[in-house]
Amino acid sequence: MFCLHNSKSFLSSNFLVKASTFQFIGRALSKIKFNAQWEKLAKKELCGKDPKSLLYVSPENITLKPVYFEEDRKGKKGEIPGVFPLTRGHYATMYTGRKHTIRQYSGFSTAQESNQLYKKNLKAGQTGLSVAFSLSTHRGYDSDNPRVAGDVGMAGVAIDTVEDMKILFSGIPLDKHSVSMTMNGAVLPILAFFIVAGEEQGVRQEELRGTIQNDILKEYMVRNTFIYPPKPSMHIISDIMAYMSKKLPRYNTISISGFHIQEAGADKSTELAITIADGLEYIDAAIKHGLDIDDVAPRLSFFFGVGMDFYMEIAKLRAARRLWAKLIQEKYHPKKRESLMLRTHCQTSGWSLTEQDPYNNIIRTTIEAMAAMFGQTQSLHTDSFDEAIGLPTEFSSRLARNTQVILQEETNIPKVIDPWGGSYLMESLTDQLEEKALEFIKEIEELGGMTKAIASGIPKLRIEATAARKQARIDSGLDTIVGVNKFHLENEEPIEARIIDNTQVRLEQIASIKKVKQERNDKKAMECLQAITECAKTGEGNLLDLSIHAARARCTVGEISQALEKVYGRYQLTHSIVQGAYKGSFINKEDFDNLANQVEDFKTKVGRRPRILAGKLGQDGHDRGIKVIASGFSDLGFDVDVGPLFQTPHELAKDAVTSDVDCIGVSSLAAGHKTLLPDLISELKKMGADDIVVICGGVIPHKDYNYLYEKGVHLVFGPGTKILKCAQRTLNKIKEMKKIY
Amino acid sequence: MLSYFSTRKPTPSHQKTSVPLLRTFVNATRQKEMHSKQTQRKTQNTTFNLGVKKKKVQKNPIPQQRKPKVSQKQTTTKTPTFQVLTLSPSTEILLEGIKNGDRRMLSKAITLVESELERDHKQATNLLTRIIEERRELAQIDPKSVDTFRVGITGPPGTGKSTFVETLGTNLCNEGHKVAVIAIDPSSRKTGGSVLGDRSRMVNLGAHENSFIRPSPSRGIAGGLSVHTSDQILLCEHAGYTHIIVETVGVGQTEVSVADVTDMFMLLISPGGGDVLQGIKKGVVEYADMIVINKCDGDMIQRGKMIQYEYKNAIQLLGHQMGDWIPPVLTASSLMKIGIQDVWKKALEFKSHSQGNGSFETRRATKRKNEFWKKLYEFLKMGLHRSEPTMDLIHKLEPMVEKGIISSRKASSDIVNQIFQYM
Repeated sequence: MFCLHNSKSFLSSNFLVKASTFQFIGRALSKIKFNAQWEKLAKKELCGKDPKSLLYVSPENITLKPVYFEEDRKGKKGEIPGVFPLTRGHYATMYTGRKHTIRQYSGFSTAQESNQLYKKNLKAGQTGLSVAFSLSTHRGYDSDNPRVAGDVGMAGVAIDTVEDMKILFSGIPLDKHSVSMTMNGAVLPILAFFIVAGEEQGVRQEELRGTIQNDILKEYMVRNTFIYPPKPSMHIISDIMAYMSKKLPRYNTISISGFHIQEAGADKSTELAITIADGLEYIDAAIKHGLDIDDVAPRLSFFFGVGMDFYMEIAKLRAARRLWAKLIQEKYHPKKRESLMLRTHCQTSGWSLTEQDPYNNIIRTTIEAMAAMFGQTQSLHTDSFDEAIGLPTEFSSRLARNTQVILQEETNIPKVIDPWGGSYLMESLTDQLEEKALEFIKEIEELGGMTKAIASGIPKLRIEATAARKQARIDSGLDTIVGVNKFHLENEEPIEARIIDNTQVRLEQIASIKKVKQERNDKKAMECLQAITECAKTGEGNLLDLSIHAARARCTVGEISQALEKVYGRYQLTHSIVQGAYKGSFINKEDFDNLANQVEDFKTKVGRRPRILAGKLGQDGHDRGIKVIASGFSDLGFDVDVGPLFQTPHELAKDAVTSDVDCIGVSSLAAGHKTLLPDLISELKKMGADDIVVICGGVIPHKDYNYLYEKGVHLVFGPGTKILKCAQRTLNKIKEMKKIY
Repeated sequence: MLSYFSTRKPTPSHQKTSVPLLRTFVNATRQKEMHSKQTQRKTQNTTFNLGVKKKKVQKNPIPQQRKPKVSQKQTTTKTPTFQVLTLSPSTEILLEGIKNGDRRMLSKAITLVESELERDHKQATNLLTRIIEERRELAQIDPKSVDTFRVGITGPPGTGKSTFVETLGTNLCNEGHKVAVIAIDPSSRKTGGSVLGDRSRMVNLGAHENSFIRPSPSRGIAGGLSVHTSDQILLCEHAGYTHIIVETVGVGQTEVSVADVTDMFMLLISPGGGDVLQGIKKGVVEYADMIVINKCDGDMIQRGKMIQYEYKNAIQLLGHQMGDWIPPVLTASSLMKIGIQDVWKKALEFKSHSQGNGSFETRRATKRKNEFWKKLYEFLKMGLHRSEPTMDLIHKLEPMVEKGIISSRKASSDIVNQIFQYM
């Protein structure tokens, strides 16, 4: 339900490259030619102004013209739905034959509570399930692991054993409902639990339907909920594909996700290119593993984000189907028609949601849902309007779900297949997006495929660059966000968000783990785990098969993950931080210099620069906030220590003490702040370091501010706070603590 | 400048502020500052004491033993240095804390040493003087108690230094050793602030209770080392850290300065990195006590072996300052944790070898001497900036040099003459 947005929120502000956007416009302008008759008329209506002033250059660097004509199709013929290259749809009938699945991503707290929610949702018109797991589960930790004390049950449901999985689906027959699971890191134990939960419901493996996300490649680029390094992770995926193509023929083995790439701020062509390139990499891995293209390709599904750029989003889905069909045909020559089909789930953009004036988000989501349906998605999640603030409530979830129900039931939109097909505009945009994406896909192939490209860091850089460009467009007012950079609301009414008692959830989970471990045959369980470790070492045997055995023997998520970790190790991400970028893009030099001088002044008084530790607590892997902080603050003259991801409060406090920093800045985007920050402060107290200023920012509901202040947090920054303001207040606070005036 | 060695007692108001521990410490520092402002002018004027001492230094450049002499000269009492050097209450607390292995106190002490405030400077000097005395006493009772091993690790960017330190350090910590890592980060000179990201590459080591990782901005000082590195090492050792790892970035002629503060200079290279030997200046290789070819895993094993062979040949030609030691060239992969144990075995071999032939101590002595000269120059520079009359003269001459009215040579020698005639 609460999705892992790599949101724009944390102190994104005035960041990077303004000039470049305008350069693009200049370059693009000269190429454009209009229909002569129209140009004449338009010029008259514009009182002599050049109609070229109506051009709009999108973040993809595609020029949107005020009008399109037949010429824009470059003499291409119309296509037929269900016929190669499948641009208009991979089936002949599409929605007219079968409606899209309303699949709302949800899950929180314990299995019991999520189960109640699922049953209620299914009754109310939802047609498919989509499970959101707790961050602790994602990262392969049991709920009793002290490392995840603040994460259990927060951004999704905590699942530790097969017993939890059984409760999650109790009363929901798994042969009747398709279940999608967003899991990438701890994919082996979770998939194994699901299969065994079905088994113990009396459902055979071949009857299970649904999708597991299992898209590890994008985790290294944007989402950071990986466990192992890329290479062994790819091995795990190959084993899963090998097992499932034989035993679970109706289950999608990977959902290749562009969604998170768009959420990180990437433009549509980048999202499209990276997603398709990821897909090709998985197929290559499977083929290397000895599988046939026709065993693998039909079981791959896709997952795209749908944002506010209406035309572009529809074109993206059309271009995606065409690109995939063409590339698969060209590279692998499959025999089955199904291998060419790009079946996709979509989710409305969390990035487009605003904390300011949040009811506007209902409207945004509706428009995005329409774009997804026009683009012929197979299933859809619509965001709740309050997701930029906290976890959705029952009310906001109902609105979100009904957005889709109304579109399906009341609008007649699904009565026509690919209604935009044949539009000069849409066909032209589809062509252009296809071309742009293909260019980048080729670049990736030249680097030796996606795994190698990731190692080179190029895709990540590209995403970060487009994200920076996008931010610059918003900051400069080139792109509008109502309530944020235009039409501000004077007084914001506070809205309700769901509260989860994380401590209670954790205690319940710990109790149930204990019970399961007491009742199981320990010797058997250890043997199963040993077999997994052995297989990871030698590569002989199938890891999913062995995990299923372990699940039956009641091994936990943590135990199975640990059995693999012994061999593979845990992957650590290193930060690359750009220095000078913030200063370089700063328009109002005066304000910048003023603060920089204050920092210098601090230095002469205290004997060193103000030093701040930018850190992340818990299993929330969004690192953009601390990167922005590190980059901006160091440009202003602060010394910035950057801590690793996934730290415990004790570790962060220890680092702060060791570096003798003046301030700790914590970025929190996954709702763990109410447990983790008080813990951090008590750790600091224990070390006698409670004179360190603690500030935090990210997705933190306003009503939590006071709680955090009471617990000793000094400053809380909401989404969209400008770096400069944040740095100024931080410096003032440090001075106050040190009694320097 | 040499008033750092002076025995001026802290002002009475200082001694009164002696409520226990941290908050007090912070407050005390505040008050110190206020005082330092008042006393600053005075000290600045005394800066030119340097002139006198300088002559002596030239005649007789033996550093360490001179300290007591200086203090005795300036004090009227004839008590030994130990008691003469009264620390301010807050510094006293630091010293106690360091000895108790208190992380926060050690960390505060390092900050004190790094501080650019003159007042802090004096306290830091006193603190270090006390520590040296204490360690010398300890050594007399039991030499083992002050036995430490300082390892310097340098290599070109991208050779996996941090990962190497992470793996090596974690091993040592798991064996029960206390390991301090001083990681020198390149500083952004244009804007002044630094991003210190080394710790994010040393996750397991950082989380270990036996470790102390302190990233330190280089502040644009050549060689990547700050003038304070040797002092930081001493502080860590006094806090019970027996293994000190100093990690610096990049390799150029100047990077060998890490060799000046450590017992063993380990050069890291990667098999992927460009032309063999050409990428790294010969001078650096000459200084290396050991060469590790890191990242030797997967496709790189073969290439690593080739480079190992070439370096072995080169080393035989170059030789080593410690005549009977041939620097070993090893291959390792810190990521896959291959060969790290062997590296450490060789390192220990080096240590016992050099201790056996006495060069361990003589090398430390030479390095202390080099360190002394380096600091002297650095402090001279600082004294220059702090001296008002000199800065006045400089500001007068600078525009004339700019305009080409007088030569830079003339201006500089005028200033130097003025400084040393002041006495």
